[in-house]
Amino acid sequence: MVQAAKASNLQELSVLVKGFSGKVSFIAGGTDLIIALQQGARPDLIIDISSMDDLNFIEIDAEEVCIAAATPLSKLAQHRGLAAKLPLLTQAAMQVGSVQIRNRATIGGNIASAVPGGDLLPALKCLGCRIEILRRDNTVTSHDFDEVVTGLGKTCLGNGDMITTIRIPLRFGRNRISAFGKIGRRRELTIARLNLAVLADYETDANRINDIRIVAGAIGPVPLRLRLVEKRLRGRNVNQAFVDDFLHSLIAAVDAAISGRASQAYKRIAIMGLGLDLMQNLFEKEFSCPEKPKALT
Amino acid sequence: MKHITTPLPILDGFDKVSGRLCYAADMKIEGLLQTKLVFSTVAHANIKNIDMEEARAVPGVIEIFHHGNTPANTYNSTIWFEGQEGVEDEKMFPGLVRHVGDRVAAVVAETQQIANHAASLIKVEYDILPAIFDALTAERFCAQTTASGQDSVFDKPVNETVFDYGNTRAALDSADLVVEDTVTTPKTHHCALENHICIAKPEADGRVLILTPCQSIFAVQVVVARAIGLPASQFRVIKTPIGGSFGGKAEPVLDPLCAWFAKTLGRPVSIALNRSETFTATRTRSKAIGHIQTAVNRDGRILARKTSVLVDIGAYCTGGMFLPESMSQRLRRIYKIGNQSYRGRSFYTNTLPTGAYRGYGSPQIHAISEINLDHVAQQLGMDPVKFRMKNLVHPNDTDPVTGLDLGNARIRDCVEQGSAHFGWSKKRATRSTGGRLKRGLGMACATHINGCFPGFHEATTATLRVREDGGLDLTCALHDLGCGSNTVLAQIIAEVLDISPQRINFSRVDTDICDYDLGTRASRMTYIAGEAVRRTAERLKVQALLVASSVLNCPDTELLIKDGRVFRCSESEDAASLGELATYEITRGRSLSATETYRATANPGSYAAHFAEVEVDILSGAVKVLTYLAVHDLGRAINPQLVEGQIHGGIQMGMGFALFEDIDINIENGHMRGDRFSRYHLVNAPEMPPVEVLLVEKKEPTGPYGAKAVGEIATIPVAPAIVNAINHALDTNITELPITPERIIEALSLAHLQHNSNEQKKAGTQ
Repeated sequence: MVQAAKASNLQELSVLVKGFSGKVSFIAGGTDLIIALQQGARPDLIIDISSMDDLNFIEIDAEEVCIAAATPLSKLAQHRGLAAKLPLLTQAAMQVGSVQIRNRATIGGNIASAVPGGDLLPALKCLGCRIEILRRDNTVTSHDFDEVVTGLGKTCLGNGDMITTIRIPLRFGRNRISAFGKIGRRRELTIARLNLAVLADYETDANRINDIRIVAGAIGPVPLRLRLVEKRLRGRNVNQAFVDDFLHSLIAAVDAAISGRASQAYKRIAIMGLGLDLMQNLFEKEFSCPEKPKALT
Repeated sequence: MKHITTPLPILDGFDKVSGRLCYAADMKIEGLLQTKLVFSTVAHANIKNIDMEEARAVPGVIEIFHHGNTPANTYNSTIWFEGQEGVEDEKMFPGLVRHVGDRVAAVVAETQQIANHAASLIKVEYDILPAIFDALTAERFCAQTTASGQDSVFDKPVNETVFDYGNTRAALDSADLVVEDTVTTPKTHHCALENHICIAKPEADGRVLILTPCQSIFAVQVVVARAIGLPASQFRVIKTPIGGSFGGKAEPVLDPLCAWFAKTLGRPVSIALNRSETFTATRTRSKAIGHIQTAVNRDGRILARKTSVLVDIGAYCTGGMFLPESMSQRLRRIYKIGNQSYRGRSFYTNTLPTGAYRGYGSPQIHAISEINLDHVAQQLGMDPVKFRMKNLVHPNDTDPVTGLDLGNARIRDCVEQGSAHFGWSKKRATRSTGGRLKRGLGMACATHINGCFPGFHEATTATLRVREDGGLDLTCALHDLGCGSNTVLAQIIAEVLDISPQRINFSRVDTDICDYDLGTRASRMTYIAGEAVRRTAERLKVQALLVASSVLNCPDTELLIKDGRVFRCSESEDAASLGELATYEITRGRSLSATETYRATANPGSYAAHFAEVEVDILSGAVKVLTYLAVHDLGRAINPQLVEGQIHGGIQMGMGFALFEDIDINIENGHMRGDRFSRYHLVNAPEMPPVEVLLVEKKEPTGPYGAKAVGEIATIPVAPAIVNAINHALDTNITELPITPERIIEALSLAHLQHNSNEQKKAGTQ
């Protein structure tokens, strides 16, 4: 028999979790959990955390953005302060599922589900977030993204552990620019077959990229930081040659990540489309589509 | 025209959106037991053992059914009248499973949760047999086994339909140009909002009452009777409000089981499938592989055509014996072709059985022929519209094989008006070729039938009775599948009797009440049932005027009906209401009612020409349909609003068929990948282009007020129109549907490699 309980604040929650020995699931939006339950998942206790004020807020100060785990994605997508400070996260949040899903799904749930195409994940990793976890024994631990999301549907969360807060540092160079894009089967309400987050420190006057971070999703069990691509681009001026180089190194990254997979032939071309969109988005300039021969070799 | 040719919202629309309408799943029935089916996880196997011990021990489990304790009668779930022949290969629970999703057992329990839990405890052991997952392998297997004299169900095609008129071979040999294509269409699923469900209930008189969302109560009755081995009269079937069907609920899949459970247990039983089960264990559209050769002369006349189609019908025959025939007709009813041959064969595979799905073979055969025609036009260097205009049929042309009249066939008007409205020639000439986004224009023509004539006693019987309050009761087995056919029929009756459509009450669709009817199939509702109710209403009108003439002591020729009341032609004050006349008749021991049976005498074609403009991203392979125009020859639109709705929905389905939808059977193990909406992609609202609809209303003399069908044809030309537009945009000849981004990228890469090797050859010879 599955038991259900509701917590109205973190204190109540830790009492509930501590006093329970069986398997615990948390429900906020339920967009993943309800499907899992229908498919036979059987926790012993489900704790409703959907109406906890201390798990639903966005705070912004000079140093960082702090987002509580049960904050719905629609709130992320519509938050003006967030759009001003972290447009990358806003863009990613806006592209998750549909309006209805975004109204229910939460940022913490998106991380805990750790699905390979999860749209927030590359953005969060790219932004260098720290994730705080309230452990079952009532201690709080803080982690890098990679420590938390460890594999396909795998996280470092033990039974009764819960993500409480996501902290995203705002410091990244002097002029940060960013872009997020995805390719799915459809334009909307679609699971990403590829997604890409780019964060750069761009010196406008010199037209130079001082620093850049690129993270791709859905080409591996966890979001993949494309360090080789970054290396090729750092310190360069932005022009068509730069874009061509970016696109071709994306192909190389896909080839390395999913070599021999059935989806490779498609994704190595499609990522160029995504990359080109992102470049145009980042620099608000038109770049031309690379010559086919090079892309195909 | 007061009540027809006017938009009228669906009569039960408010009840639907407000939640007042009670679907099968909403019915509260005391003591209703719930069922969980256990499905085969392997594609072909003998069931060695079913371990039910643990499941039986679960409190609340009433019974577990399987092949050992259920009738082993074989049946065909596609038949629709007593005595109809069909390949009988289905069983409630086969001892030998033929596809992943075949029925192994069923747990009936007090609650759904108990049933689900117990079902999860059942362990099945299989003796695995070799399996076939595609029609090409099936064809090879059949050739081999026929030679070696083996004998199993998969040994031969279920059906082979051929026709050959003129001298196709000679024409193909001597033509200026022969263009050849192989076109493959996917297996797609209906995706009705309401999943499959059935409720059966033992009645006090010993019969079993079946409550089911279906397309024909009489088909349910006869299939259930055959499966259980009792006379049909032992089963009473009532249609429940249906949450969409599109052919998916044309065959009773759950009903035989449900009726048997209720009968055996003496308690009401429900079987309700969830979404994935509806995908994997009901029906799908058949997959077709068509090889087609079209011969033309230089000026664009089609001289001959040769078509060969392999139809993958899945693991049970169901309607697979009709599909090749159904496809063949379409090839003869739209272009005038002097020499033509066709061979269509249905093959079994170890996959989900196929069944009816909007168009019944038409979307497949039109994809094959219309994609090929654009290829021909391209090879001729001729505009596809011009090329088609040289070959399309004219009104009252005939089917060269059956001699049947095509009726007031207005496909030429559709193409002419459509291409002008769409700005075809101009747009086609100015398509952009450079850059990442390529634009292209495509069009396709289509035809579909109106009813089952000349086959299968195409008839409908309706009874109309005037109530004492002046409203009407219509008794007829009318299966509105949610598309609004009842609304259209009410408008037709209203037009004859000048009464508000809302005052017409539709009888329950109940085998105890209604006369036999084929049900909703073959685009027959407006054309056949519409004419039947029109004639019934006309007869009732004559009767009402006769009664009025005796009441008012005045010749009926001086009377007319207006707003449900009888007037003397010369006076503006009404003389009697229809209700008063009905009451008068009752006092004289009679009833003001009329019954009429309409037997079809023709089967005219409905026609359509669709036009699409697409934009293809050559990097992501994404296709965006920019604009869409649908032009339909439907004789006359009884309800233009519902017609437009049908067409928009048809385009949504057809776009899915062209671009996204595929149940995607894994050819390694027969498992279905596209068994849920996260993997089976429907066209959703953001994908829909702006749609324009143009109607050619030139009236079909045999249809009610000139009307012909639109429900099925709305989806038929969509996929080829879009495929042709993509091929135009990319200079490709992609013929495998759905055209996913992968297939686009693959085609472009191949074209590129070919281009390169040609360049190299050129360089080498220089």
